[in-house]
Amino acid sequence: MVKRLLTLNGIAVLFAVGHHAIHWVLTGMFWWTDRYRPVSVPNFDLQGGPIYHTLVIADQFMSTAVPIFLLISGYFISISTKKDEKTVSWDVILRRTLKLIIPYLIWSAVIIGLRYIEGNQLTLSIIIRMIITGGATGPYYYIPLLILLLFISPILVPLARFHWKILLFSTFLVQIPITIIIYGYSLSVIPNNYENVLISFADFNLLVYGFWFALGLVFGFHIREISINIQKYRQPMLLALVITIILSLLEFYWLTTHSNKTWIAPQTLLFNKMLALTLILNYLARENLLKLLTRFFNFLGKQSYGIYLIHVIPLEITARLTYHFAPALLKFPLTFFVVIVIIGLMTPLLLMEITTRSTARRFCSYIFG
Amino acid sequence: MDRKATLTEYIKNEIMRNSKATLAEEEDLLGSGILDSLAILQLVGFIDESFGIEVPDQDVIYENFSSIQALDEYLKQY
Repeated sequence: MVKRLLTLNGIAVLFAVGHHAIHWVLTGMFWWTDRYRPVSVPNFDLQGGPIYHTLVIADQFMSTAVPIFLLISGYFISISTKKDEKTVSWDVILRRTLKLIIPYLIWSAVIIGLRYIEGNQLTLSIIIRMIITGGATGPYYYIPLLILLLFISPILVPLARFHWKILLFSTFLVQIPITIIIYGYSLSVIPNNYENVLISFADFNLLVYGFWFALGLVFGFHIREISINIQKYRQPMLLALVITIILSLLEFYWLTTHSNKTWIAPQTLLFNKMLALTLILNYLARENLLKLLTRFFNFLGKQSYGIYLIHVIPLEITARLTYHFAPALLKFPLTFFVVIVIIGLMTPLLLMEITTRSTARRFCSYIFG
Repeated sequence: MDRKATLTEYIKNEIMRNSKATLAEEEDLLGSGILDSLAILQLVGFIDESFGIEVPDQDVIYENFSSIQALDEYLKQY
């Protein structure tokens, strides 16, 4: 089962690229419509159509990428903890952090540089804030979050070892107030006086995503029992997956309809988190699932950090170039989606391959992780 | 090539991506940051493919993967 985590990581990075590509596809559908049809923008004619529904369904799955990454990171901390020591050593945490930070700083600098060339006024304090919070680009929130989780892992490890039920229950329970706030915010029913405090709470990624890291830790420390139970409950888990897919879609449609929003990030919603859980468990329970694609996903999985850091750049550049030079492609959102996903995936892989074949090979881990 | 040498070559070439790197048999692979989560999973896959040994999930622990020496000792039981 453990070996398949690498494949799962490969699937997750493909999901991440797809999830972030959807942002540009929606932009093309609603905000750039005037580039291929004589209408004023924003234009929401395509909302509720078959392409929109296809994207909604796809994104329910693709938004599970970060939970999968965090689960695997938590698992790593569990196997890096010596049996006879109370918790993980700071050596492991610091080395791991260093390996994450150097490529993160490099690619954050590239993105900030591109923003500067574009004409954005960026003061030093803004740049520092961007780097600390992962604000250079949307998906970068994940890296400071992971580092924060690594730093609190000496506290989490004993809990995951000896009080794992409490750990999982409490980290999952905190999702309920977060979901209530997100519902309240989306439906505009939060009193103005409390809005900032409540939104900051719901935006605190450590609480939003801590469950997945904790699950990875528990998974590592109790792998034998978990494996047995995963196999034992294979059929009910399949049913749970189907139910969570339906509930996740209903939740998305209900909230978008009642909030008059075009889109709500599925990963912020409660049933999508349950979908992520049932999806992961079902994948781990089925040894032969996607076996033919194992090599491909393992290949992606090995290079997932580099892909994650870089893919946002080609996605944005391709989308903008399409807007300017090939707007006709935007008329076909699913084709546009496939094109930018391929470019978003291939560009980092190509860069890594070129670097690996060059004299800079020894610096690969600093550049791409 | 013996198992230790095969493991060393694999870690140097595929994980550290530096064939000229020095890697002692006793070096702490986890504590020194050479192995991260994905590298361990890669290594488990490599052991399966190269030596035909499927490492049981519960054996993927620090004590067995802490160094090439430790890993070789562990693999001797197969």
